[in-house]
Amino acid sequence: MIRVQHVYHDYEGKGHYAVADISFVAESGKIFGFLGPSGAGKSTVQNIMTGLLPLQKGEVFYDELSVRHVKTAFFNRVGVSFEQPNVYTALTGYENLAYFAAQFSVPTLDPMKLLDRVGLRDSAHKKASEYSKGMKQRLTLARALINQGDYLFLDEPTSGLDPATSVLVRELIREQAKRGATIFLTTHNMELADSLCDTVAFLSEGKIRAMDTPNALKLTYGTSQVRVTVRKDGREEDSFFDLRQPQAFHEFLKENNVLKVHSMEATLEEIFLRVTGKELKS
Amino acid sequence: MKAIGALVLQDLKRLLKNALFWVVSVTLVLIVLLVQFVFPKSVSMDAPLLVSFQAPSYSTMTRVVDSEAALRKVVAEEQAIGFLGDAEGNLAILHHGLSEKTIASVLLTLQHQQAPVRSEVLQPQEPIPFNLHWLPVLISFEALVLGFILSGTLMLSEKQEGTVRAMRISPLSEGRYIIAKMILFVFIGSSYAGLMALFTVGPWINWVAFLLVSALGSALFALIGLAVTTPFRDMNSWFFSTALLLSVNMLSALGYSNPSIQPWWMRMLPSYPFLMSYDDILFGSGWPQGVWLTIGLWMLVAIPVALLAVRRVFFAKGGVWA
Repeated sequence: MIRVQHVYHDYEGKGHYAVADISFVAESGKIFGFLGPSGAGKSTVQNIMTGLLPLQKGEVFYDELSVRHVKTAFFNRVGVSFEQPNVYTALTGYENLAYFAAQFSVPTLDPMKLLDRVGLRDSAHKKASEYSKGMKQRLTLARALINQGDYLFLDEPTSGLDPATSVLVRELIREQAKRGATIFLTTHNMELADSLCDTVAFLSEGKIRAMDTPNALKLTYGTSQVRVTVRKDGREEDSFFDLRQPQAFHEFLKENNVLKVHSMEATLEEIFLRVTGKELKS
Repeated sequence: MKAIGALVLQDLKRLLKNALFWVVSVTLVLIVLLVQFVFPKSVSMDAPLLVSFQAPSYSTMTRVVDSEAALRKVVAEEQAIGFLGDAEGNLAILHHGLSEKTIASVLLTLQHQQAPVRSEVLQPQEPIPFNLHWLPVLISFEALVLGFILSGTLMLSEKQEGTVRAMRISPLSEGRYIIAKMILFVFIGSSYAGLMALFTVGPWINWVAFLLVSALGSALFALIGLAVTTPFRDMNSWFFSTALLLSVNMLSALGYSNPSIQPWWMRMLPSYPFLMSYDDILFGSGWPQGVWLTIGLWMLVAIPVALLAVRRVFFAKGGVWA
């Protein structure tokens, strides 16, 4: 479990907070999604949590251990996949993983098996400089998983991946949660967050604007509408009904030649827009 | 040990794919070829021509000319030393920038022509062949400085590729990082220095002393290279700053070629004790004299400075980095 309490960060020390009063709990065995557009402060929070940025104000606890007191050995329990792939381009994919595996004093996965899981087995002995951005992204993810850490930080893990590889990666992330890892997933991909996350937090302008399970957010902020398509005079026509007042909907179904009925559940992206007034992909 | 071994191996692989490493390797071969086949083993050191006008005390030992103009012409054209006297018996020496010490020596020699001065060398030794005279300088500024340049190059590429961020969230400590780089450059620097000595001076030297000095020198310059490189983000700014530092470091070569010019600050340069050590090992007593204190002091300073620099920029954990 990771507990973040009232974290602030000011890059310039002039009282302009890049993130302010950030608090949440990411549970073990669960995937916590941090959603927000570029510049919202997602990476700042992740960097504070991993110690890449100093903790100026507030607290971050890994179970009961404050991030202020972590020692080098603690990083045997952490895996981080960066949004910008950062690998040794002069080394092969296999050499990259083997090198990082050797740094850990805990059992690590077989680099070749891991490369196989992210679809890089055939390119294992190619230099990373010859990899595409998506391949480097997968190599970075594989590196984050090699020590089977208790705490995983995944920054845009499916960015630049084709749909088939994206499915592979999603499955891999779910497996990590099943084995009990605490996963902190940073993304602006609402579809990814919706399909993977147990809890999501909406971050905008450095503050958390809403936080709950995806379903609860949909119930809270979405509308209970349905769209009914009927045939009238040889043409298809759509009508909309609020399910909180079902009488009109029932009567319409009886009186018309209904072709299709669609639920109008709000997407996380729409909810984000409603809560923050900002587009996720900005 | 597993982690350090992996670091050394990974750095070696990266070096083998680095163009600068191969440039340095080719330079090593060129130096050996130059010393062995291009530089002469000896050069003729003819005594300078001595000429005089109106200096009867020196007339028997010098070529006498018939005017001051002729004297000045010979001095100018033949790199000679001129003795110019006047009617009052004053004497002026015309020359091309000799030191006061040399002029005094010449005068002393001429004044004692009738009874030659006896000279005694306190530490008699075989004259150093001309082609090998600069070998200590070449080893010090090629083999040992490799650690400085290549450790900086490796660190900068880690910064530019962003792998330094991945290292910062791994269990790798700054100590392991530095030890791995030191091991690599002690191996490479000592190998290069050893090859240069083997293919020029030959196998009959004190290898224990030679390898000890080479290992310490390579380690020291690798430490300085790491400490100096930490604030830089790109190759351009790093290159100019390090070129300046290396130029200052090379000033000790002046003291080596001219032992009368060795001010205290020159003897404190990191290259100085290694330069003098190689001179002792290759051409002197075979064991370095009077350099261990300077080497020890430099190591005492370089180790904590490199650790602090690498820790602050690379490996601070838990929000305590600079």
